[in-house]
Amino acid sequence: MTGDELVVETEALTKRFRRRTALNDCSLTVPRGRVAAIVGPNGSGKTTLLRLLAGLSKPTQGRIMVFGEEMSASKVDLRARVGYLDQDRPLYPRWRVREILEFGRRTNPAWDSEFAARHLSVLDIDLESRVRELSGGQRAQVALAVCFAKRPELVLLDEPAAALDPVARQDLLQNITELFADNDASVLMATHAIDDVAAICDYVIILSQSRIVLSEDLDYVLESHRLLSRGLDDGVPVPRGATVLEERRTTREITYLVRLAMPLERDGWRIERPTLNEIVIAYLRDRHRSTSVSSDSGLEQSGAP
Amino acid sequence: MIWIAWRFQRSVVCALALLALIIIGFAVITGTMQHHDLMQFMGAPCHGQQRLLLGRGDYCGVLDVNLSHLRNYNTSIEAAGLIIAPLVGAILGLLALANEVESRTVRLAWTQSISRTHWFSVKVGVGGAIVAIILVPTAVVLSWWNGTIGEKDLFSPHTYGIAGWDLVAYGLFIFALTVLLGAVIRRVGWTLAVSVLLFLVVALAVPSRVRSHLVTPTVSWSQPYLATKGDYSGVSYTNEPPQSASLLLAGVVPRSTIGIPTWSEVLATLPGVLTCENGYGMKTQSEYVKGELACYKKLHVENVAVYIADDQFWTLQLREGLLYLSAGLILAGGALALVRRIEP
Repeated sequence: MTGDELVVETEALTKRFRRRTALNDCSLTVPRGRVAAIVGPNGSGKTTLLRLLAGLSKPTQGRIMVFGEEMSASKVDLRARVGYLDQDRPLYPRWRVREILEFGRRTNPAWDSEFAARHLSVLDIDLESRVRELSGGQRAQVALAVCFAKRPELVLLDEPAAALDPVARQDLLQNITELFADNDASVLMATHAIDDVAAICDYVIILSQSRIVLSEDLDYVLESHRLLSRGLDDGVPVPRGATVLEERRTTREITYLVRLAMPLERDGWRIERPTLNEIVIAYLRDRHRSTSVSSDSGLEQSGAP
Repeated sequence: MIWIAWRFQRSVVCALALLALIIIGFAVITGTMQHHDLMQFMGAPCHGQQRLLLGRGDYCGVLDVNLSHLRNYNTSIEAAGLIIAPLVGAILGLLALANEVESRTVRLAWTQSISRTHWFSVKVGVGGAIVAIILVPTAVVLSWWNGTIGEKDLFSPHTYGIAGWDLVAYGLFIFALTVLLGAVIRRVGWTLAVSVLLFLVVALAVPSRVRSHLVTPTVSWSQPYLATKGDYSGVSYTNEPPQSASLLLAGVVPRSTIGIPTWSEVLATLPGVLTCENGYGMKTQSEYVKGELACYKKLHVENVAVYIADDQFWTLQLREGLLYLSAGLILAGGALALVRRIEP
């Protein structure tokens, strides 16, 4: 993959806040034209990663490249190509929506006033309303309009649907999909909601304990993981090339969620496709992915995924 | 960007401008009335005294009472004059940075297609200009008010601080100080508290420790008494500074002192003089004076008064104002350096 095809590339990225390490040795690439989801538990480093990418903070160690250039707060031209939606939706509460859009117009040379006004008009958001009078969902939509109206090539969204009711959440995700299609932008979205990932994303990055544990195309992730089940007494070993991420036992059956490195032979296993939810949770639970597979249980030593 | 900086603070600016207008209006109205009544009272036929006039009754007494009533407002105007500059500077300084950092709206501003340097320069530039626009007319009116009916002691704290262009310089200094502290502390309440405290420290330190270095003070030497005239009553210094001058130092130092005497020289000399004087009989006023004169002669010391004469008022205002402005520029530069590093 050449540098031109990557919108984001990080090398051994580390960010520390005094004694706390928010990101640790993270290397990551995101190809152009993807809607990538960053998933992980609270405090896993999702927001820190997005703020680094937005140029709001500087790495303690390592490099962070956006469109092949090192990102920093001083690179105005580079930041002009990046839209950022903060998780706190920091808008000026006393301003009218119209004034927020005027703020965007005056601070972005490529600002698309028509798009912003149309987007909010479709959502029935009155431009004369003050920001503090808007609901959480409307405020998120205004922030999203500011983010997209600058016509960014890379959009960074931090929990875009957080604290929204299910309808507003669905509408917002739909908007993001439409905006993505209309703007031909790459999107990097931090979220807790794995359902959102399945709905609109085609690339997934899993962060756990400040480290990246998975960064792949969503289709590939779904294709390369399987649930293998057998009876407890069957004694069939886990197939070669399968790395066990999670083990579940019932009174009669044992099920492994595995990552596959080569085509799978059935060998007496019942094979099912896991949901994305199951895969993500398995990665988040599996703190030691280089799982030892004991011969007693029919598991074999396998490498990290 | 100028529109954004203005929009962000316009309601606060309007409130502060209104406050300044109230102070200005109050000073103009009460100042004009006081000046008018004072001229009437001091001129014929009253000549500054309450006297009954034929056909006009107690006209002078009424004028005097009116003047007394109007003078009651002067303390309020002086207090308002002392408060307005730090108030305007500190509040607009808070809005320039601390408020935006605390409310996290810098995350919105700093992720748009403008540099932090540009954002900061415009915000501080507009804020500083507003401080000056509010304080310049206030300073002009208060200087007029001061000259018309205020105290004649130009250097007293509640006179010097509200007269001349230093009022504007104070406002700009605390504005820059608050911006810098906002970049360090990043909390509105604490920034305001520390900023006001530091400003008070500076405002108290400058008159006693800095002013004497800004203009050349007058040094006045004298013998302790006008003994040759036989008048031993009262005064310690035969050559006291003018009443409206700013007295920086008064005491006893060796006559051989080179340059401008300092408090440390006064404190070093005083014990020797006191020891000497104790050796003389000090029972009567005459003995006391004789003893002191003898000691001064024996120890080769004299009384000295160091003061800034009132004709140096505007020179001092200009230099002190420039000092505050220079310090303000340095503080703003420091704030810019911090802004480029802040991780909001």
